[in-house]
Amino acid sequence: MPEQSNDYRVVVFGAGGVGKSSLVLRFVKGTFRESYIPTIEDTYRQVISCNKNICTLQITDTTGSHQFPAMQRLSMSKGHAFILVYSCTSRQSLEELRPIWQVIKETKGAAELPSIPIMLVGNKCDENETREVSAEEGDAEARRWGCHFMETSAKTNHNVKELFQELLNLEKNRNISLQPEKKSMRGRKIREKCALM
Amino acid sequence: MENPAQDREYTINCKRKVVQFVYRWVVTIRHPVFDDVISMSFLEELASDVEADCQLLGGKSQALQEEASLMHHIMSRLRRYQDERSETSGLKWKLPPGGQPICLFSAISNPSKNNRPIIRPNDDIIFRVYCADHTFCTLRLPVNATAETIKVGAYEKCSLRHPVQDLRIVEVKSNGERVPFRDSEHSIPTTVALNSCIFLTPKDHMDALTCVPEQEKSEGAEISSDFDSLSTKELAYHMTLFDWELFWNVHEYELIYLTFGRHRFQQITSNLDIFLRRFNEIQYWVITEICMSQNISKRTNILKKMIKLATYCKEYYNFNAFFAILMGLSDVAVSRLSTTWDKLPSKSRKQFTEYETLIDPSRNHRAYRITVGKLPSPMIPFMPLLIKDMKFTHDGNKTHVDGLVNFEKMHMLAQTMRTLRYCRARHLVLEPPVSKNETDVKSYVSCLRCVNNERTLMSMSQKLEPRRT
Repeated sequence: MPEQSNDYRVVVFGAGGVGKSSLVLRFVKGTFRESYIPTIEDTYRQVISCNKNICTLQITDTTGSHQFPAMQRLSMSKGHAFILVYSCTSRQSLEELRPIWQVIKETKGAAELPSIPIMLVGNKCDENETREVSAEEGDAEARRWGCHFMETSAKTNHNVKELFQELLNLEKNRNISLQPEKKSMRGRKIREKCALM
Repeated sequence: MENPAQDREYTINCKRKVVQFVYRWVVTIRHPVFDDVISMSFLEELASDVEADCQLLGGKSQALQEEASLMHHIMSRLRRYQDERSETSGLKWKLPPGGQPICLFSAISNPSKNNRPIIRPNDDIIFRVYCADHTFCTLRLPVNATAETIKVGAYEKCSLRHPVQDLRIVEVKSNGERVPFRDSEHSIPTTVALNSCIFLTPKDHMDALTCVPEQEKSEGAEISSDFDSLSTKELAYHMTLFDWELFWNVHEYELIYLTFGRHRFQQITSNLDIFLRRFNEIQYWVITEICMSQNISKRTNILKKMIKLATYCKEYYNFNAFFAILMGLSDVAVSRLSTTWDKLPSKSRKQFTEYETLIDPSRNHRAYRITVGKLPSPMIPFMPLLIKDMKFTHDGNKTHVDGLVNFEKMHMLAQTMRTLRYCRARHLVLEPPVSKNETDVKSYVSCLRCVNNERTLMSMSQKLEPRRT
């Protein structure tokens, strides 16, 4: 089992139906299936490079835990980076992120906050006919919060990999990249081991 | 079929299979089968048919004898259930003003049964509805009353000048957050959060609603005894018995109702609601107890006692309380009290660090899943995780694919529901600890004082140990 300290934890928040599971699955599995069955355990892990070492990118999907503030807070206090997802087709889903943003701010503290990679994400940007939130509005909201912004579509695979890459680029405390060091044989071995687990 | 004997054999076999299936179904589902008029009359008809068949076949063979006794068994369970129901019908529940846990208003006539009764849709619940100026009226309505019914009831008692169709029922949480209800939503008093209040307000005045003073109150709560003075083991014991009763009353179906939406089934999830609320209650109680101790050595003592309480809960397999306590201790308002933590004996600290790895959410709570996976029943599981699994599976998968039911999804949901069944496969029997003041402890654990406004807790914490700069 990899060491705790070796994990880089990304926590994904968002109301039900904004497609956060799809977004994560698209990134991890590279697929989008309307009827995909996500298994509960061990799905969201990716091997990445961190300070030239292999480490595990762990993605925590908070779906279904909104009733329990403690679970969300625990994820927050353990998280290194955050993705806040709303759906471009629902203004309500953007509104619902506001209290979550507040809690992140409180949990992490004002001093630490600027150094934490946080991305506001408008998903389902392909569904233009039913759009309720424009890209400009999303961007403005992100600016008010002091975080970064992107629009994605898990369905068409627009900006998904870019989202995670951008998020990791924002991490200034370590040097993180989605690509594990290719030349290192050791890296490849670990990678195989992970796949077996 | 040419052979009449073979033919008969085949018919009997089929009948046998049907009865066996029905028996399993009833034993698995229990109450909802007995509550449903159609399934009940089906059972009665089937029982009398099997009886008739038995007599027809006569003493010549033992055919269907076993099936007849199965049906007998079902019918006697049904009668027993009906007796129990008529005995406990029309219970009254009360939601105290602070929105604290629900309690039973009038005890059952038969005191020999001190098991906590299940909340039923037609039971009455007594609760307050506030107006913007914090005046209130008290209503008594069935648990499954809709927001519309509450609205009309409160409207008649409060004197608001707005026409009733412009009004809304709104939940105001202790942190000031406002959650409006749709008119069709039901069982509202049991679904609101800890320390929430129910308000009646004109639609366009919703943003002006503020908490009533009771919701914010952090001091002066009347408590019969001090946490400090009660035995930790006794607390854990009675806490576990209390939690077990709440857990025991949750039906597996309530998970489905909650996940897919109560309105789709016209069913209540009140028993599940109050068990889930218990988790938050314990968690915030832990934070409150610590943040309310002004004296540092007393605070260290309480911290130590809480860790010990977690140890006992874990020994009793009360993982719901264990997680609640640990998450309370991990809350920023508590974890930032470094002077208090520094004074903690190293043994307690070591224990806490060990427990922290068990509540680590990494890889979707892998550590916890592995640990409980090896344990025998009975146990009280970390319920929020089961709810998360249900919702996660539901959100991530369509119920229908190309017009067909998505069985894979249903299997996954069933798997989570089966966990519940496994946890309760055996009755909880615990060795009672040496009791010093059982009554005090019992009443203490049944209603824990708690502040659940994070901002209030944080400022209490900052007063205790100001931030070092």
